[in-house]
Amino acid sequence: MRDLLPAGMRAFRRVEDSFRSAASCWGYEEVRTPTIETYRLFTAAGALTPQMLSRVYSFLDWDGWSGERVVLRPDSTIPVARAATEAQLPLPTRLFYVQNVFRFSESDDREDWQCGIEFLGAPETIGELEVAAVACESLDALGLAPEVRVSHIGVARALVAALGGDDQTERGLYDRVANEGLGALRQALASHARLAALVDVALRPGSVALLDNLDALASGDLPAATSAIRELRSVASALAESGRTVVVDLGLPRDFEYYSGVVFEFTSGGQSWGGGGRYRPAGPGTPDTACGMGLEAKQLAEHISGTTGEPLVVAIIPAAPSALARSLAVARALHRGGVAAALGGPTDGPPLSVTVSRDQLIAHTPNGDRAMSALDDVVGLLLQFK
Amino acid sequence: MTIKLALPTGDARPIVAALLERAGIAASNYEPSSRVLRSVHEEDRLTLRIFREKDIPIQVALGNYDLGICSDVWLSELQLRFPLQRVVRIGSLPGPKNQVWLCASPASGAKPGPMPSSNALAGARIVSELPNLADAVCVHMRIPAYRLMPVFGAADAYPPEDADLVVMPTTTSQDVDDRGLTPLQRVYEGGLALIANSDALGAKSLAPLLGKLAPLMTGDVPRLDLPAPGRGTTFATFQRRLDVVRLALPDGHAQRHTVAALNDGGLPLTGYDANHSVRRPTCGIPGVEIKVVRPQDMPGLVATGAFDVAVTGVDGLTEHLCRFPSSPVKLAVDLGRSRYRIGPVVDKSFPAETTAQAVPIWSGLGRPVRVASEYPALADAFVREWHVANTTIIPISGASEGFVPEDADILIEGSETGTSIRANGLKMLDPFMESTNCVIVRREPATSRGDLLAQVLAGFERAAQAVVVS
Repeated sequence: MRDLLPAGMRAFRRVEDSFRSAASCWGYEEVRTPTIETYRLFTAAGALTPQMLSRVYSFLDWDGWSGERVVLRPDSTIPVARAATEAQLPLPTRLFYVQNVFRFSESDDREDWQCGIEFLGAPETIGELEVAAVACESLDALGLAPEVRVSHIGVARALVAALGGDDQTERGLYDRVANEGLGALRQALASHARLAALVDVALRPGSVALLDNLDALASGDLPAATSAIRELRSVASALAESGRTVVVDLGLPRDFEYYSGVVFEFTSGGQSWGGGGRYRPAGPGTPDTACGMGLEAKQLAEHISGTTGEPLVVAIIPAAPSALARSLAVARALHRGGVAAALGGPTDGPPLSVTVSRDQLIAHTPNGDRAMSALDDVVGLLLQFK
Repeated sequence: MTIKLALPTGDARPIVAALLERAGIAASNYEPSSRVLRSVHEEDRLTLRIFREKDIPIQVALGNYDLGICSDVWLSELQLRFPLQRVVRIGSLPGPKNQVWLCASPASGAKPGPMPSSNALAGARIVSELPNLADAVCVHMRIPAYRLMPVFGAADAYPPEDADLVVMPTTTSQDVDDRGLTPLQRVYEGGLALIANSDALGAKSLAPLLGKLAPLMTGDVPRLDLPAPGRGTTFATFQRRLDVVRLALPDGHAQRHTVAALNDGGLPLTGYDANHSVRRPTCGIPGVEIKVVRPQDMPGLVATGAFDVAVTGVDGLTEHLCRFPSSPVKLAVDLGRSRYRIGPVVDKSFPAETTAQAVPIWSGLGRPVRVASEYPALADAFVREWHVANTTIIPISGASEGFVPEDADILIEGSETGTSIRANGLKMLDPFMESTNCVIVRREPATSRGDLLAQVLAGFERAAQAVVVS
């Protein structure tokens, strides 16, 4: 667990504000779900993987005599889908959240913050384009040049199915692909020349044109992969034509129990800031399909903290105890003008300060000191430095 | 520098005692007949401490002991849940092999071999004395909405009415059959392990002991085989009958007093006497179903409505209510037997005779006050009530008198006569509660047979009256 001190919080709020603004512009509405949820919410089929479940903080609550366990929220997508289903929100529904999640990690940092959106009941392609757009606009606003890396779960699924094998073998292969990416199938496909060639090509990240080449290699042999490739193509080409940098990277490791279609990773400068994609929400009564994405707010905040300046706070310095009441009035006037101001002494003054006496106000600015008598004049002067 | 070695009590004690003798390690006072929980062998610079096996990996991980000998399964049980603990397995020692099996209730329709699918098991109730291992099984099998019931013992008694699956230690699959369960898969196999605190291993010479134990080590390696879900679609879960009254009776030490109460109440049983019991004794009242389980597990079983009536101790009931204040369990009849006091136990040299005198001393230690107890919620309530702010509660599973003063400052413990406490160089400050055996019920009974429930409770009322009269 780590503290977020003022500099960290300033950067964090910038990330949050950028994301909130982008999500709101696309019509998403904010929700917040409880920090404590029932454990069984996350054991439903297609919810958290065993690896994730083994890292949740679970315990018996005060009313846990029935054996019902609760968890500190390890993920936000599943609770948001639950909340929307319970409230019977009409589909499609656009929701966003800024929430913390708790997962055991061997480092001390076991609390993460996610800025995420869930487009429940999202139409095909439209949903993918929208969530990618929100992520990119959030990163744009932070001055990062986002790159969208795209893949499709259907390609790996088709390849694993082509290999045959029982449930356990299939599950083992999915686990490997989820952890290592598509390359994990290369060896298993060694005896299938055409499929092995498909993997070799797919493992080379490229532009939208790569998908045409993959389509040519898959057609005939892997109809399931062909439809996935074409679906991915329509998303990737629309993003690219809208001016986004798109990299087709079928090697992206992704969770197979969770995602069901196009998946994304959002990067800049070689660093990943989040991801998402098409999924089937887990749990009874939930919509059949959805698109979502999450940005790692804390990591983004750490990255931009160097470019997030300190806020300007004007020091209001009472010249004498008799000027205290007037000092409060000066502060209130500055606050109304949107300028932060706090009472301070003469020694800890920031670059901007106002010395207040009963009959005079002296504004100290980088341009020099100015004596004034009208409060409005002082506010007007200091607003220039806001 | 003294080497501190944690050794098991119980069934493993004679085996480990023989092993130490073979290794040439002086372990007087560890003979199976001895009641001593701690002994110091100054000439060998060795301190021996006897624990319940389950506590050994925890004590070694905490750094209270450098080395320990215990069953692999207890080490794995700890490490599955707490992978960062500072405990390492050095190797296997010769001893009996233990297996842990995933078993199904025979009423489920599951057969040995093919595993049910995840969805077929949705909502299954799984009972185990090894909750972390059972949890890993459920998670690995991706069982939706499973319900885990950790129990102190008698897990095999729960199916079919009270559990659908059991993860239990056993010796063979035949043993599972013999207990009337369906063996699905062996999930764990291990033996006796030599374990060490990882910090001690890197910083302290343990060579005098390791050098003697190393020649005995075997190449055995414990195996964890978590089952994958299969394609079987048949798995029936069992619902309890509501037209009966379900009565839970305790096994172990509490049995003698319970038999006496049943006899006084005019409720004699077949298959349950002072020394022996079967899992499902019978009584002459039609519509009363009886099962014998651990008394510590009873408040939870009554709370969930699995049982309507249970005979347990006021201590266990209070512990349950401290932990779950909204539990629907309540005391119905105080049977007045098996009477003992519970209070803070300290070293006899501790300079206080009452809790009020002791609190400033504990508060002035400048470090967390270590409170060990088999009643962790009760211990927590005790230190809260006395405003002892900086505490560490150490839940333990037995052999409790050996914890003070080296491994704990306070022991919250029950004592009937105080003999065992005095024998271990300890003393009890003012007791804060008195425990007796008692009958517990649910505030809103699960059974529809209120008449029958009243009849059973009337019998226990007579038993309580008999104690008052005598």
